[in-house]
Amino acid sequence: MRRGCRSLTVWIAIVLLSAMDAPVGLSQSATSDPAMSDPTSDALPQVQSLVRQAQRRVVKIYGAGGGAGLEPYQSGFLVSPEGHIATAWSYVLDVPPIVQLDDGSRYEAEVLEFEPRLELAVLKIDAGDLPYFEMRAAKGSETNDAVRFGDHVFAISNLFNIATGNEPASVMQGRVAAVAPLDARRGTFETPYRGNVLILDLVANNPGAAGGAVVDAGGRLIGMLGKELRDSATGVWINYALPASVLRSAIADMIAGRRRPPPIELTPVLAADQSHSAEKLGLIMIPDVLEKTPAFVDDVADDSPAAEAGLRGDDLILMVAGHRIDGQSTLRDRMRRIDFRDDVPMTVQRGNDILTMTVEP
Amino acid sequence: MKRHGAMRRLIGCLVSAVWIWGSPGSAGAAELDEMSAAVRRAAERVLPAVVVVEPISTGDARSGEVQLSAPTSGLVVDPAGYILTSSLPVASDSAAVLVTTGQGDRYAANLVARDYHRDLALLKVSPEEPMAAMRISGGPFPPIGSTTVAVGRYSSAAGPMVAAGILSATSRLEGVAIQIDARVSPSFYGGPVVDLRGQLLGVLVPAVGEAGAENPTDWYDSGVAFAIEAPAIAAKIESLKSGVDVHRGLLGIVAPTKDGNDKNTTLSAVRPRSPAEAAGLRAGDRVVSVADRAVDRFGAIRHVLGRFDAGDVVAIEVDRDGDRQTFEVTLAREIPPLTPQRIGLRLAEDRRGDPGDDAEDNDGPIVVGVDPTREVAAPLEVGDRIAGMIDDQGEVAEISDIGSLRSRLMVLPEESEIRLRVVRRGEPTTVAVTTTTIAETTEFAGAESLGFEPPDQTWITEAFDLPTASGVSAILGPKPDADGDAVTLSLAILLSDSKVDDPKTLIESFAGDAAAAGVVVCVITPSSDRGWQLKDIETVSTIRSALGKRYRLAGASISSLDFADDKSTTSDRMAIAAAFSMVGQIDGVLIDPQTRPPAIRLKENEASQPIQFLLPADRDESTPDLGVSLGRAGYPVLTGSVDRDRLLRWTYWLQTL
Repeated sequence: MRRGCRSLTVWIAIVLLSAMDAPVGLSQSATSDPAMSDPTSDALPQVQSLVRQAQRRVVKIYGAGGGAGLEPYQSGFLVSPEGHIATAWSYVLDVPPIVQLDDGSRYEAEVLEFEPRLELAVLKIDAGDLPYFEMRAAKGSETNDAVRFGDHVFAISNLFNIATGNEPASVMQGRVAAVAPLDARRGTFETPYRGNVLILDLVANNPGAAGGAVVDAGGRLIGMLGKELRDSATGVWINYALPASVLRSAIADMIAGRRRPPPIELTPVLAADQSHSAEKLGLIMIPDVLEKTPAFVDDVADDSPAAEAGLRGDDLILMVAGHRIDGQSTLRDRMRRIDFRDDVPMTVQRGNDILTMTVEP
Repeated sequence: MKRHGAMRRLIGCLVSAVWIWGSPGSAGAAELDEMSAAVRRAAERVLPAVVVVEPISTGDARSGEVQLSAPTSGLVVDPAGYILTSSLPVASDSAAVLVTTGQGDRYAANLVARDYHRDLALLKVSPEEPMAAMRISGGPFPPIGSTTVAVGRYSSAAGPMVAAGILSATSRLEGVAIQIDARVSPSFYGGPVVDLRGQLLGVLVPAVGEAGAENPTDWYDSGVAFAIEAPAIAAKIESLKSGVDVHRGLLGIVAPTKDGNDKNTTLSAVRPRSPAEAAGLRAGDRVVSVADRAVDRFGAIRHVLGRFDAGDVVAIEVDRDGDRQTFEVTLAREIPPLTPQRIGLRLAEDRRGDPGDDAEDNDGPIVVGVDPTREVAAPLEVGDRIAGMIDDQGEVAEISDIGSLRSRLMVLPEESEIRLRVVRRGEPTTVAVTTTTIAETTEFAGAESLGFEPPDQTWITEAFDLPTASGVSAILGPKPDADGDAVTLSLAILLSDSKVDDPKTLIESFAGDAAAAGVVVCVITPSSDRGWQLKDIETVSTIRSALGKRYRLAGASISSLDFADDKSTTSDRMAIAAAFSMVGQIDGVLIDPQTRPPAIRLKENEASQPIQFLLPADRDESTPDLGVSLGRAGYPVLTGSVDRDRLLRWTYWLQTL
């Protein structure tokens, strides 16, 4: 369920925003949050003004694309007063992009740095004294890294390129539905990012939304909208944001020009003679004849590591080393990622029992 | 991501609008944070009993976008390990169903029973310790507009997941579900909906509104979500635990009119071998109340009955000849399919007298043609008025119009001996008739032998544009003539596989044949070069309605423009989909017998607005699967070869009874 209904929700949000009488304030100190300390104060910041302040830090980005359903635009947000902009790393940045700020002013931007594993890029435009989201380490109320499921959020982006010129970006509201890693199926991930994301209960991730800002009820940045993605477990479009807590230090390093060591691939595919396989452990699987043959054990070789561990014929392998096994191809892939000297923890179903055992090579 | 129907988008957005304006428009951040905490507290009341339910190794089968192997949610309803979930995880064969609790405990689950009526499944696991469970009770629902929280668990980590929205409605989906405006993604299916106090309101199922979309999962994330009402679950849970499947309960009564909103609850017929017949209900009974709820429309009867299951006993109170009587009816899971009957008459409604002017004499339709091809020609004459019917059980029913006679013929057993009460030249008489089974028909009488008099106007072919659809349609019919007395014609809708520059050219060759056959011909092409899309159903429906205003029409067929070709195309599938979507607007569907039925659920044929199928296969060939499943759902399936002449004759013949 996408696009059609999503865009109309946006219109409602725009109606909501047009009624706002937003005070303008570029100063970051204005966003410190008296509401949290004194809910009864007359100086209570209206959510609308907090949202408007956040909206002013969101930018429209135009670049490559245009054919084959690839929209040549996306969103981003300012992360320094000197014109550093965080956005999603995507095909849009294949050409030097044009950035349009909330006030309608346009700049040519350069791609300063990118981090594919976070699907993050930082752009730089030649400007100064801009409103921005603070990226340096947490200092009190400026950051909110303790995001929980159920938290109220506003997603601000230029989805569908609805806003043009000096029109403010579109705002949608909703909640953090869950804080969880994106699921992987068949050994493949839809995104290189492996950590927790913020799953949203609003239809936020539409064309052009990637790189948009997600802020909490206090207007604090808590995430960056990801690219359009299907949930590999359910098959449907998923609405999610990369948490600011993960992006923060990477963005700060990029702004400061510090290169980051490439993260280590946790479980790369190993050479066949360096990794385990079901056969080597003594597992004889049922013939793999279906597109997704269940990982049923047909028989176990005598005196093999699998027999030692207690595996038997008719066991259904459910998990290997903490990863879900949904068929024999997943099992083969997972085995290739485990060093042949390491133990292999397995979860199997035997009849109605779920058993955990460790196969020692 | 397919969206069809602006109406649904509108509904979704109106529902969202309520939430927007109902939300604290001028709130401070603190209020929003308090609300977030309240949502979390409500979810945490039920979260210990919420689990992930995941079928293992189901291949790539899907319901729309949603993989049938998708991990969804479930609700532990008994510490012994009974888990309620939606029917999605058991919708396909799987090697196992895995249940994961919030603590990370994993269990293999067995299917105990299914509620086919409400799309729920009850699973059982065998925990060593009692599980945290939610007792299901049947409390009242909070007011519409109250905040509700959908609760599930997400991904292999089985972490908590919530979506908040308001209660949009209760008693939806024919009385079984609440509707909420939370954006519910498939991971939530099977999970509970609670109010802000954590009280259970329902269990989420994939569902769409009636005729809403191809797949029950298509409205995920839309702001239109349905949860089976907790009181209904509470009433069934013990039965499910004992391993008894639940099915929807059928009664077997036939509506008086096509429109369920008409203020008319008089039964036009009672299905043979149905619970209604067994309990003693009769055609002509006016239903006053169902299960102690007063009803004044047939739609209301359906709505009240919708919440009952097979085996339930329902009190039906009727007015029979001025007497109030109450019948206790035990609803059934199945009723033998219809075997629609005919008596070979073309009828016209009587338009002579004013309403109320000697009503007795003006009731009942007039015979304007007698089918000469029937094996047993009905001993009726042109000009006879049919006033009543006495069926093979001796039941007498008044006939007030063509529709009421049709409904009665549709529900008769095969080759029934009936008697018709006829007014012939002012004198009442009774005529004995043996009905024939529509599916057995091999010859279609032409218009000329059914009393058709060709209109005076010349027939022309012209483009037929609507504000919503231009360049996709052309019609061949008599030139509109304001003065002329409209002659009753039939309509053949032909679907072209591809878009063309000038649709007129596709039907010009029908000119002479159509006029002689009394059939207006309308060709419709897809609206885009990509061929037929589901949204085109709306176009076909709009054109059909517009033609109904332009001509006086009785009987309409729909088929592929290439009906004579021995191959199945997208137009064949479109013809089926359109006929089922345009209830009461299409009487006959001609399709290739090899056509794959569309993904929409095959609804039973309705006696008050029946559809028949013509599958141009040789009778000697073994009956194709499509014909078998259509026959099982009560649709007459006619066979035999088809050419243009036969299509036109059949189309005109569709209006005969």
